[in-house]
Amino acid sequence: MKKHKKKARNSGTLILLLILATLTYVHNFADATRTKARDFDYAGWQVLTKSTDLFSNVHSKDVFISFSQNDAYETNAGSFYFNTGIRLAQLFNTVNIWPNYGTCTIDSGCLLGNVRKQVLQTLPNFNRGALVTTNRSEQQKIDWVGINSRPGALRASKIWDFDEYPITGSTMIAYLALYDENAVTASIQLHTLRFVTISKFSAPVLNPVLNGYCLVRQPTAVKRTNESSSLRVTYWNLPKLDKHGNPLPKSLDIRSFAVGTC
Amino acid sequence: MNLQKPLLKLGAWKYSLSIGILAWALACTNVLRSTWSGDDWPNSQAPYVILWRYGKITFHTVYLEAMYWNNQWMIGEGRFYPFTWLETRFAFSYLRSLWQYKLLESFMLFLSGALLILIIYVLSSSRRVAIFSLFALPVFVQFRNDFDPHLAFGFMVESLLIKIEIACLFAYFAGKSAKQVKSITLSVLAGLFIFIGCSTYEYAFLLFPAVIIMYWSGIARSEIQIEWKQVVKQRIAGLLIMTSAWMGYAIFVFGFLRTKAVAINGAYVLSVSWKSVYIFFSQLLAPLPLTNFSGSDFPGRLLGFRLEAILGALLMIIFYTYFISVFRNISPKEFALIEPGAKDEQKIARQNLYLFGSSFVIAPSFMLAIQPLWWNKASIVHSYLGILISEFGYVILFATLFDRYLTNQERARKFHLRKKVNK
Repeated sequence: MKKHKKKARNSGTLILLLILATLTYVHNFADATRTKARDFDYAGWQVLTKSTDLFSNVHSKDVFISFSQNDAYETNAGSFYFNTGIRLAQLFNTVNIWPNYGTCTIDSGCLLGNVRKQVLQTLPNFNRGALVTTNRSEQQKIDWVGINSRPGALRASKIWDFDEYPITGSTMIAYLALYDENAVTASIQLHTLRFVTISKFSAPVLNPVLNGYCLVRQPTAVKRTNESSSLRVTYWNLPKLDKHGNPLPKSLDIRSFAVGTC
Repeated sequence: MNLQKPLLKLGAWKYSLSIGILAWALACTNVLRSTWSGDDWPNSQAPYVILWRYGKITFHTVYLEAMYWNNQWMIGEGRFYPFTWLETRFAFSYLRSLWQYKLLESFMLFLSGALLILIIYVLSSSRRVAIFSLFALPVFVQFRNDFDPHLAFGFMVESLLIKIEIACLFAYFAGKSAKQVKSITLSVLAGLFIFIGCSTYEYAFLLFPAVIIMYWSGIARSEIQIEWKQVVKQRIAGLLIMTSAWMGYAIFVFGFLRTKAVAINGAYVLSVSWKSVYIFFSQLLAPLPLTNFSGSDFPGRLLGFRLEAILGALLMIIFYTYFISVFRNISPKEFALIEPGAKDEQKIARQNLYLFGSSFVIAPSFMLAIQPLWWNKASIVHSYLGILISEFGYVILFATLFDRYLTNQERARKFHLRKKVNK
């Protein structure tokens, strides 16, 4: 009787092991997919940079300034270069260009410094210079930041305001516009604005609005991409006139930039 | 004692071993379902940044990138982990597709577990303990939200474990070998892997006791009789070599780099307070099975099975059921490598296993306890990367305890049998 009890206890331990292993397997199975929260953002970026013509006017050595820049994710000059073939001088974070961005508000009358001057001042900070270990001189020779930090290297470069971010779990927006370098504060030239939305096919198409101007969908705008067959790219234009029938302003302060849906 | 028997001639237990390997491999395949996570997001960008900055991806530019970041961390935080920088820069540069990286990550997890089983086998001289450990691995290895060492962080923890496990094996055979040159060479290799392990991730520094336990265990098993003085000289030389590697790292990092670092912050600030006590004990419990389960798991999340999950779970059930049925029909003798009568040797082996397992369990708990950053964050359900090391430690403790329980039963049974015969 005792022998049977002990045998049963041994088997009991092993059966407990079986139950725990099965539960843990299933739990791990479910938990592994919890890491997929950024998959849409990632896929959206791949589509944006590989399958849209948003960047068709951008050239090598141009500069992007963006709130979306994040070295921790794919929104960086490296990934952009790999996907588009366009080697930007840098994809800056807006705050790197204007460190006082948060405190310099429109209401206080504060002006953001000239964009080109700020870019030329900031770029050398990204030079690795003395911190490289081996073959320092060789590295400095081939370092793209070092090359572009030389005087006059970016004379012909255009400076673009660029952003891309999800507005819902299934739709992301992206826009690109040239900076107005003659404006008294950091502003974009509205007529150069290009705007796309990337959304899942299962999601409804959201009509974006920019500073109260409802964007107009381009007629041949919807495109099923090769990169991800489940994503749809839609191109949008600014209307010619605002809702009161007035023409749109030529430039727009980047601090007043507000995107929503109509 | 006979450790020389080839594994494949071991009869029924080889089936248990094969099934156990399959179960562990199946558990590791869950890694393949995940995507970039944690530090893997920025790490996955490394090749593109190299391409943009230097114009091409070559071994040289990848190396330069790794050394640049290693330098930055040495100057800023006083940390020294060049091997992680090298491994991740190269892995992400040459395995750019997610599936390629995930395959490597799964393999590293599998290998670190497999080496652990080998160590347990060597340390215990018991197939049974090794088999129990193998079947305990899928139970203790739990994926977690946020800081998950199984799914992310460039397989850094697995990599450090592999190096320390290799150091452990070298240390064991260095202790066991009676030949001076061989023993010293193995000690040097063990020391080298200790240093490389520490230079992969600092947790390795706290696992030094595990290496010494292995060395001690090897010495205890040394069979060949040699002159006492020579033995002492050889053993002390081996110990000094390994300790030098460990101390060398300590002096370089804590005595030099940290004193010169310009921006030590976050997790790299170390201190002790009463909160450390709570964190220490909470982290001792965190690796136990089911601690990561939440109310929302039942029935909702776990019952919302997909077909692959059901198939995987069924396979797991089949593997364990088969193991149980095999186990019930194997005589204890078939499992034991140590002669059944060699009680003392069994006892020493068990003590070494307890010490070895405990060192794995305690090291990460201690590390978190002395990091103020974690004092208000860590709890039984919230942990950090070292949790994988503790999980491995518990695998050893569980297998040893269960084996001891069974051994006691068997002894009691024999005792009763003898009593009956005498009557």
